[in-house]
Amino acid sequence: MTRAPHLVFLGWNRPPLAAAAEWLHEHAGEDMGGLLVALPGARAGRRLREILARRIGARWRPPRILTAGALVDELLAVEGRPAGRTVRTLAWVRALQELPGAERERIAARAPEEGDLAGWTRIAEEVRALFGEVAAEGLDFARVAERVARSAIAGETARWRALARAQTRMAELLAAHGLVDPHLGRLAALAAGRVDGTARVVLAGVVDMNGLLRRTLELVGERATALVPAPAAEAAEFDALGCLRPAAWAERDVPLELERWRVAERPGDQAEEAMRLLATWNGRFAAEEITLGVADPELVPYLRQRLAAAGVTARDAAGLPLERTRPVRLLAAVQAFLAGRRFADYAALLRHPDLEAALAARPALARIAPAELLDAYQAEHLPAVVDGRWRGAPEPRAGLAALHAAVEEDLGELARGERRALPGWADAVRGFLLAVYDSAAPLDPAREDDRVLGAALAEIASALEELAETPPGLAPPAPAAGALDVLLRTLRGRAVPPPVPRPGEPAIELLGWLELVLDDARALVVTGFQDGRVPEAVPGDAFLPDSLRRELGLVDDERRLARDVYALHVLRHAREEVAFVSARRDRAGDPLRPSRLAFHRPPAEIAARVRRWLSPKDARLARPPAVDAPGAAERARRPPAVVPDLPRFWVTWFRTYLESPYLFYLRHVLELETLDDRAREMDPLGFGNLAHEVLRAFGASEWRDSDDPAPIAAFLREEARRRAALRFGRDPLPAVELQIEQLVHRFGLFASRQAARVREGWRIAHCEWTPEGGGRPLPVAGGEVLLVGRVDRLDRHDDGRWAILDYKTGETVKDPAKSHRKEERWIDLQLPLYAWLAREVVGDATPFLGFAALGKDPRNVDFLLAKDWDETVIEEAVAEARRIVETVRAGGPFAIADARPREPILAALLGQGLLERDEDGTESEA
Amino acid sequence: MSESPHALLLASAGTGKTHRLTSHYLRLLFAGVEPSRILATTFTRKAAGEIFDRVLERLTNAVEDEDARRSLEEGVGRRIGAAEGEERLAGLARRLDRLRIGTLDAFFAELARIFALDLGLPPDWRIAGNSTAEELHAEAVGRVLAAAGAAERLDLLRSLQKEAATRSVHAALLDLVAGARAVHLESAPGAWECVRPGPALDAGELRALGARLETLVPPATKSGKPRVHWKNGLAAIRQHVAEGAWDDFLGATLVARALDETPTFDRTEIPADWLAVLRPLAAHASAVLLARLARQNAATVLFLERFEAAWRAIQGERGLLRFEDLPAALAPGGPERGRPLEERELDLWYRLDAQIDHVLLDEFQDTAPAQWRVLSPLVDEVLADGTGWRSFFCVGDEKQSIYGWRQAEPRLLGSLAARPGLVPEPLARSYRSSSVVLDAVNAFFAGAGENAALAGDAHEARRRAARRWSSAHVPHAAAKDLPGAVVLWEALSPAPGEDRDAPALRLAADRAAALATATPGARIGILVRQRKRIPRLIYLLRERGQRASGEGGNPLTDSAAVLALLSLVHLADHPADRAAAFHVASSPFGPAFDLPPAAGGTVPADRARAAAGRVRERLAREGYGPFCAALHAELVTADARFTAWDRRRFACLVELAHAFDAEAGLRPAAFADHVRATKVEDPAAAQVRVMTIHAAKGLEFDAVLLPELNQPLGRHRVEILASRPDPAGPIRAASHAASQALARTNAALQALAAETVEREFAEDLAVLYVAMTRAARRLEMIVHAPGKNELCYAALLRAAFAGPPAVSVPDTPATARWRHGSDEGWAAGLESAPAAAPPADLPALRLAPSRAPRLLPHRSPSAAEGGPARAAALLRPRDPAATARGSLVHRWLEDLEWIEDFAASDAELLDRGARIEPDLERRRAALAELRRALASPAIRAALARPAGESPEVRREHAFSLFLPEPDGGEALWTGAIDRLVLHRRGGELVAAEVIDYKTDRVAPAELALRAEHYRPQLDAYRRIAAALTGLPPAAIAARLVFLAPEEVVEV
Ligand code: SF4
Repeated sequence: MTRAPHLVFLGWNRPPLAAAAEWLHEHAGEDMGGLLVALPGARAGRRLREILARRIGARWRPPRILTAGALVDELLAVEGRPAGRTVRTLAWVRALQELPGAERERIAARAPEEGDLAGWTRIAEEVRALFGEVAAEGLDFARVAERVARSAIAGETARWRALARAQTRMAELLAAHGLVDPHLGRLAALAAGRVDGTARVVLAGVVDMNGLLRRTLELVGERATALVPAPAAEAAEFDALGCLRPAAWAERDVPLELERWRVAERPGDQAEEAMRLLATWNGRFAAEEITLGVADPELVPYLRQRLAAAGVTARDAAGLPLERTRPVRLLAAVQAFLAGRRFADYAALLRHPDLEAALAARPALARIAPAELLDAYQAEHLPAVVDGRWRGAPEPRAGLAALHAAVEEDLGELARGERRALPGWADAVRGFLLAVYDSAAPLDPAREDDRVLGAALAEIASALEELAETPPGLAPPAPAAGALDVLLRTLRGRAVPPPVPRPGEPAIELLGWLELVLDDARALVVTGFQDGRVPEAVPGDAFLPDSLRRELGLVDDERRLARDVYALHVLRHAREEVAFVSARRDRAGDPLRPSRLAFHRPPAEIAARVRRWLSPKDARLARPPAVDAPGAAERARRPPAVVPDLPRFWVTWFRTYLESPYLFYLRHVLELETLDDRAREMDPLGFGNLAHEVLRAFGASEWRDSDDPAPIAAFLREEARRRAALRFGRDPLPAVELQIEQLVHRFGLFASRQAARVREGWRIAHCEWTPEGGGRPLPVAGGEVLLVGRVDRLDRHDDGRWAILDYKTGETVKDPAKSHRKEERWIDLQLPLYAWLAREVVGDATPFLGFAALGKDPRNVDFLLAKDWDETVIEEAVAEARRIVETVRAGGPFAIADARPREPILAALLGQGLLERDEDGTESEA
Repeated sequence: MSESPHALLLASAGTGKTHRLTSHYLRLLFAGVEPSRILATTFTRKAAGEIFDRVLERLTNAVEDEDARRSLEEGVGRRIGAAEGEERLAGLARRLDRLRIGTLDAFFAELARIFALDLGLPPDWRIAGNSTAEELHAEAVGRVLAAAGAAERLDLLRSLQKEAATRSVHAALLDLVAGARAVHLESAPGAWECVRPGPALDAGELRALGARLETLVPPATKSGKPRVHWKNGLAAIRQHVAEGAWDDFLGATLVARALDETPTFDRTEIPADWLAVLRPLAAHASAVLLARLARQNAATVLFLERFEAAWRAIQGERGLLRFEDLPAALAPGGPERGRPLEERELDLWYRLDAQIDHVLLDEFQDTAPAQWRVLSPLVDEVLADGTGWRSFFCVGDEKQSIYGWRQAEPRLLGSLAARPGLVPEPLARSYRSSSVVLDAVNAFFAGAGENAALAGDAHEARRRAARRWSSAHVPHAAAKDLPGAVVLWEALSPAPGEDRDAPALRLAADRAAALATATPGARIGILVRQRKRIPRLIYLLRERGQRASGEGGNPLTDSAAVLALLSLVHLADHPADRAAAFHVASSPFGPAFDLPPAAGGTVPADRARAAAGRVRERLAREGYGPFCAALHAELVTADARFTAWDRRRFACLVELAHAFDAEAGLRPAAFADHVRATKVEDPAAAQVRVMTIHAAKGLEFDAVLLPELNQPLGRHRVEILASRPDPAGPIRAASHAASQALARTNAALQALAAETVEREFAEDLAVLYVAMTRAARRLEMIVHAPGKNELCYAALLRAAFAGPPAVSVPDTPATARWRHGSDEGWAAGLESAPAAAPPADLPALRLAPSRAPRLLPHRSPSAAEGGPARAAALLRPRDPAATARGSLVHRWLEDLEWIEDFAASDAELLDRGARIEPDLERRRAALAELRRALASPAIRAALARPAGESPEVRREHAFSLFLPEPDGGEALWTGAIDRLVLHRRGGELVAAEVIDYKTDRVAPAELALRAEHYRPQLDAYRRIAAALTGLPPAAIAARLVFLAPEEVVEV
């Protein structure tokens, strides 16, 4: 039996890394070759390397510096080829799928469908992570099952037994492909005592170890030295391997004086409090000598903002999650698109700037603007999926087809819709990425974009290697989308490291709580000092309740607490300045709790601390908001109206004007339109247009004078379906298909009314009639304008009377009088102005005016005629039109009135919802 | 704890329920109960935070102050020593993590997490945000439609829409989901079949009755003319019958009167021959319409069942849930199914890590039956415990039940009261309000049952609700002696065309401004029913120079700067959106994006397209947070056209954008949606606060103004009727609503409608109760003059407070209809404003000049190969076998000093490589290759010991050292030189040689190219060797030794 490792107490009045570096230099000299130096994290390792290189200079022969986790693999001789994470996940999927149903249900009550790889992968990842955690303590599922059986909860025991069975199967599956699970490999090596017998190991600041490392180190024995950042006087609080004794630390008080703890209200206040603390140091420290601890990542943007305002760069040590990099976003978009070839996903994919740029580089597509093309297509044709068949006018159709062909070409094999074993997809993904990213110019690492892009591509490349190494037998052949899903999961959790600040650029590092102990900044502000963050809480573990963790020796609450109590001691002693900030509320305004470490003090001090928590300086009251002068914003918001010379006015425009002159100005003077491509069915306009087209065809058909409803209905039905098929294809969105049937239904009712009308003696004289020259000149002050309009129908009775009819297809068609006037005021001028326009045909007699209504209700499908309208009504309407035209031509004013357009952009232009605006429209005109 | 350990408090507003709840909590703590064994839940996180704070605060007060300790002793029912208080506080503060004080939602989420796989939930489920959830609902509707056959879905749709041919399909179905889903989920099987139509007439019978209808003759006036009402009524009825317009028929007054017990119309009895025609026709109409309704109900169930299935599938795929899904997930199978945990032999306490012995439920009236089904087993367990050790504490107030739309079931409180072991204790002493305010509350609610505005048949169901309310009303008494005043104002009538509440809102703003100015220390709340009123009121207050804050948060779209940004983002998504382009161009953002200021003109398409492309590109490259931050810094704070309000709101937008980056996709418009759907509270609170009554629950104000009392009641939410006889049980009857005329032809439907109206009116009263009881001292209610004959709070209040004649008040555009209390002195003690510290700007940040930068770039020469990389190089697949071969060869060559001395046997070498490449065959092959290479003259020469002074050879020479960077900084270079040969002359180092072994297989013709590829790497080695040795780089040779082909290349 070898003796225990050496323990060296470094003290804690200096940063642990500096002390460790000094010890190493003194004891190992300049040549540290052959030494293994392990630290809790990679970042600490990098920093130790810097310190030693600086301290010793070029003569230094560095040791191998690695993380405590990697140390086990370095020391243990694992036999066989270890399987990567993706491969293991797939092995777990198979193992779980192959469990007998009853056992599988013990693990997951509802199993995903057989082919639902993503669903299974979710469960398998959970199990794989669980296994990793258990195995790190030197246990496996069978051992856990034994322990759980003692607690006599039948369901739990059965569950762990099922997991144990799956574990066996997982190992078999890997073995069949010449692989081992690395966890099992380590356990086996340990059991067989296969430990590197020569290595000299130094552990620096590793005060919390998992069982596997502990047992490995026990075998290494005296060849290992543990450097413990604590004074020798604390020796009793550490065990033989230099780890914290949880019970000894968990209940200890912490050296955190009340004046070093600040309580703020919200995230923004917390960031400001941190800035105030930095300011109190008054130039004592350089930027690189300060670290901002972020125990709660939610605070990063707030800190970043405040630092930027002070001219300091924030360097977020967590880096940029890979999911946010451009190539990974691109792959995610491709995955979504290939999964269902939905048009919406296609539209998203084509908005990826990198793909867009790659497409634009093709000469054939140089003149194509994909987003616009797709928006227009979507609005007109409401496509559900992208199937390569494009409809509509030839020109956009050709563009869409060319675009689609190019995308398919770039996607290459990915687009072929076949199933392949996973490795078979790696090259296809590479090919696609190259099509997008391989440009003539190499990436310039000095440019931040290129650096991130390069790092992301490198990560993708390594994930593709993993994909390529998947034994084909382990996963059934998958479609491209499935393979991409596996790939994207592999990439999850990885990050691109933050950029290195340029020389002379003041940068303060933002660092997570766990890394702070070994950080060596001279001054530190810890933000996010909250319950659940310090110590970290593991909410609701589905497999390992704390009691079981404790029993199994896994990291439990007590160990986490002990670790953080210890951390606080080190932080307080080893820093020249340290302060902590907590907040009472989070970003969403929900209450937070302070870290309980703030209360690890003698009972007599607690009341004052709770008091601090309860009554922070209320920043809300301290900073009263500035009140803007009323109307200040209004002037900025609305540009002065400039009216071009408008020679023609459409009859239909007046309705908008009467609703809101400003909306009229936007819609008809500036001709602004707004777009949205998310409709899942025809909007009122689209529905109405389709109806109008069909009715126009009817007006020109042989059935226009028929008094038999049946052929009319048949004509309208066929025409509607024919036109719908042209526009939406054979296989439209189900809602659209229903809309067409609804329209047909309305046509059926309309046919009887129409036939009846013919029997009453009415004939369609003109359909879609426009006056000679398109309109009729309306004399107004200072000249005349052309009043233009298109009358849906001019009907003539056998007795010579005329009727002017407008088709209406809204859900509920109101009586013409009500839809033209409200409370004695005009709200629309349409029908009377039509009468005025049609004078050349109709002559002097006042025609009937009304709607051919095709509402949703059967009784709302009818001819609705305005009662009691005579010549004065028409004259009044013309006078009103004249007044409006004159006002418009004089440049307004264009009041907003009470319009509430549904389109958010128009609503924004009208200032809807703005605090500066009086919603009643009683505002004065600027 | 001598008597029952349980408590059920019926706590009227302001009666100190939180105090009692925390007392109970503290009593448990002082009895030594572990906090993890006490579950205390409420409904909002804010309220949970308050309970948490109150527990801590009371303990702290007791530690710091003798009187407070006394009062705590009263609360916990025993003596507490000074030291004991301190100990308890310290003990509690150290165990903050164990406190189970939180929302019911959070507790359910915890359960759903630890039992996710057992309940069939996705293991890594998350809560979906509002805009995501909306999108997923739409997706589910799409799936339901796609899954049905064409004919079936048309049939379904027609039935759902009662045979109308609506245009809107998708949107209408989404509305149906929003309106009926919650009821559906709670319905017992068959509940939606409660409407059963009677028999309809056959065609013959109908025709016969139609013929008889034609023969009816209206009664005549004295002059012999047919009476005009009869004549017109009959004509209308005839037309309805002819058209089959049965709902119009049933709705006709003549028909309605014919169905009365004593059928009279127009002051005349309806003749028997008329009744003989009208009544059977009415029965027929009813049958037809009820059949239609029944079809609609059946189709609703069918559709919603499919919707649920689709929704569950989507949940599984996306791993997303809504809080409202949790109760059903935890108690699956609906109201009448088993306990999944028991079926699986699982133990809740085991997984929760503690047995919950004590359950404290706050705001119990807001509990929904589905939630209660999850909680009740727990509560049953506690109540069944006979030891007296476990306890149940529940507090609620039916009068404050205003969350019916969230399925809250206030009657659960009543059913709890009936349980043995629970004795309800009413609390009616208000610690909040002045007796003056309480007088008004008492008068109104005690008299609600007799309120004159509720007279008449039409209000029968409402009257029932009001009577129940008044008979249960326990008069509120004031615990504190506060001055106070209550006024019922009558505002001017709205001007023609003006919003009907406009004068009341203006008056509220006037009054609030006046009160605030007179008493700067008074907290003033303006409470409204509709959120959209808030910006309006804030505007009006600002006009009066009064700062006000909107509470509960608005979307950031209340700032012009934010709106312009949203248009910019929208434009990025839709480059052809001319409106968005115009908006951006005419905003101060225009020039920054090269959109010409649109002086009345519009933006050329190519400019808009280019701007859109740039924004999209920047968003993808920088992210939303940095993008918005840059705009904020460069434009919003700089441009004078933006206001202080804009700057504040835009700063919030930047933070929202940073958070959004985590979930951002490729559609910028999604960001705009997110902003529009997210409420962000303005962090600056003001003396006058404006909020909805719902948001004010739990708050109090010195003065409360209620300006929106003329909104009609009972017009809302009655689309779905439902009856739940047992408040904890399922809904037993449900239906779409029907017209009153139809409802009276069917008893089931009528009962259902009456029940729904009654329930909703009770909630309307509760809303008013909550609103009035927010006031501590002063309550001003503003109504306007009567108009149409609808029911509204104004009508009820006017009827209740029909006091002495109206008084007009100078300078106020209103009259006081009713006054109580005194205007003088109402604010005694409130005069001084809270000392508002001057705005504390952030102090300037001073930093020392940089001394020793940390975390410099770390570089390695091997990463430098090939120079700056291209994507192709980064993506090129590695050959694992080649990598292993390389490692093997390097490992073997590490042992080679001079080739002449290299004597290791094959067996030895093979053994040394075993850990690098487990496969023996591959090792053999690599070794053969090495042997071959070492036999080649070129390589032998490179590795041969030179004549003369024997140089020093370092193999695998590891290094980590600093080298200068081109930008003036430094980088740490780390790596190992394969072979470093140091030549000395006379002991003095004169030259060095760096050798790098290359095992990649290169075609001879490409050797030069390959060597070029490695040049940057070798250059780095040369610099490093120079640093290591102190030699000038020129004195250092660098060689590439290729093993296949066997070549040495000088670089
Ligand atoms: S019921 Fe009376 S008080 Fe209420 S809105 Fe109508 S008219 Fe006004």
